[in-house]
Amino acid sequence: MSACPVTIPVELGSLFPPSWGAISNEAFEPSVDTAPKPYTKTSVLVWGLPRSSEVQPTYHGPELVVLEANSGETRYIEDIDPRSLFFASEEKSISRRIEMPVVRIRDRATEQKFKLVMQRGKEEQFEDGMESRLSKDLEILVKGFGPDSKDILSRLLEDESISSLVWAEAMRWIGRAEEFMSRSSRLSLLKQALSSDSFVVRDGAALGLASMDDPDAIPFLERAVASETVNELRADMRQVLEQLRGR
Amino acid sequence: MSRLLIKVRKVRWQKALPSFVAPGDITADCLMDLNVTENSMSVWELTENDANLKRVLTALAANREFAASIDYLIFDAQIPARLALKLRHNPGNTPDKGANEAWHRDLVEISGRKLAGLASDVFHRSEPPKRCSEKDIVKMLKEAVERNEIDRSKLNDKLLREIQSGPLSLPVRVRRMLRHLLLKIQKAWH
Repeated sequence: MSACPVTIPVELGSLFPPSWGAISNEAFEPSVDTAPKPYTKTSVLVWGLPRSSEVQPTYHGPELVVLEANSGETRYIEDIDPRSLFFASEEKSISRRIEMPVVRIRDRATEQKFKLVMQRGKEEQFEDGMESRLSKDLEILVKGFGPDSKDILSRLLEDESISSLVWAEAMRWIGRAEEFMSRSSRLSLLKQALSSDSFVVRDGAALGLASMDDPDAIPFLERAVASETVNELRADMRQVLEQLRGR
Repeated sequence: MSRLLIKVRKVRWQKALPSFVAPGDITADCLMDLNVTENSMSVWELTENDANLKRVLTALAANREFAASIDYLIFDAQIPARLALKLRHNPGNTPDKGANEAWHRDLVEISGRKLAGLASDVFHRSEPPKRCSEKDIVKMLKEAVERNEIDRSKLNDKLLREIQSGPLSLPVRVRRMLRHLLLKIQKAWH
């Protein structure tokens, strides 16, 4: 692919030091327009490096790429589609494309939809064994956004603006959401929730794992039991552990 | 004196209280589990040695849309009696008619102050809540259906499917069977 003429939007000029930049690159939309909806695409341009500089990109999850120049300088770039990562020498017209594996971009609009549903959940009274508006909304979102729901939920788990009671309910739903999410995604989210600061969320995760009844959860549930500080919850986790071990 | 049972959420009844709660007090969250309608609250009376505990839990589980664990709290019937709360024999509304008529009660004439007193006394004078696991619930429901204790026609469709086939779907069960089989073959091979 040939180099793309790119100009740095004025409004982004102040965000980056003079020798580095990350921009939205609409010029490349057609060439990277293969990502499934609703994902948007962004290109990254690094310019102004000395002619001899080479940049080594390293992935740290789907939303963060670390660019390290051979001079030792590093930059962190978030929210990019790494399929279209560019760097150029100080002659801006010479830019090269680096082929990258496909990693889907973080879509803040989609994430916001999940976040709103989770925040709205705080108004609800949850009852065990009964469907809730939260569970119905999550079902719709996860059906609509597919496998990437896992990454969105994983990020939102770190969001302190969402009630732990709502997360606990979401964890119970994830435990029984086998029709909507892959087994590995559900295990991954429940594993993450087991290390939450909130014991309410940890309890929800343990209940989700009990619903899944998957022995693959045994190793991380064992670790969670060992580190659990709330006695009652530790006992409940042990009960789940014994269930998974088939006792 | 008999003992009474209510459904709760265990996490609301943690004995380790947050720092803003004064000694002897409880969290407001506990009140969320004392579901009052028209100044009365549904409770279940346990028989001697909690002999009917399983059946009561099964009746409660049968009233749900899908199988889930049940957190419950048992307290001495003296606690509401000391607060001058009356215990009225009203049939329950679960698919287990026998349990409804034999052991369902309503605590009636509950005022706001009495409700707070009840929550506080139950919190401080009772054992911590217990949990009956989802897996046990499914098993108990299945047995209750087989014994005709539960009216199948009153069960939610989803719950009925879970009772008949277990909470796991067919592909999951097949995958699990294959994994067990593979493990057995590997063991035999070595």
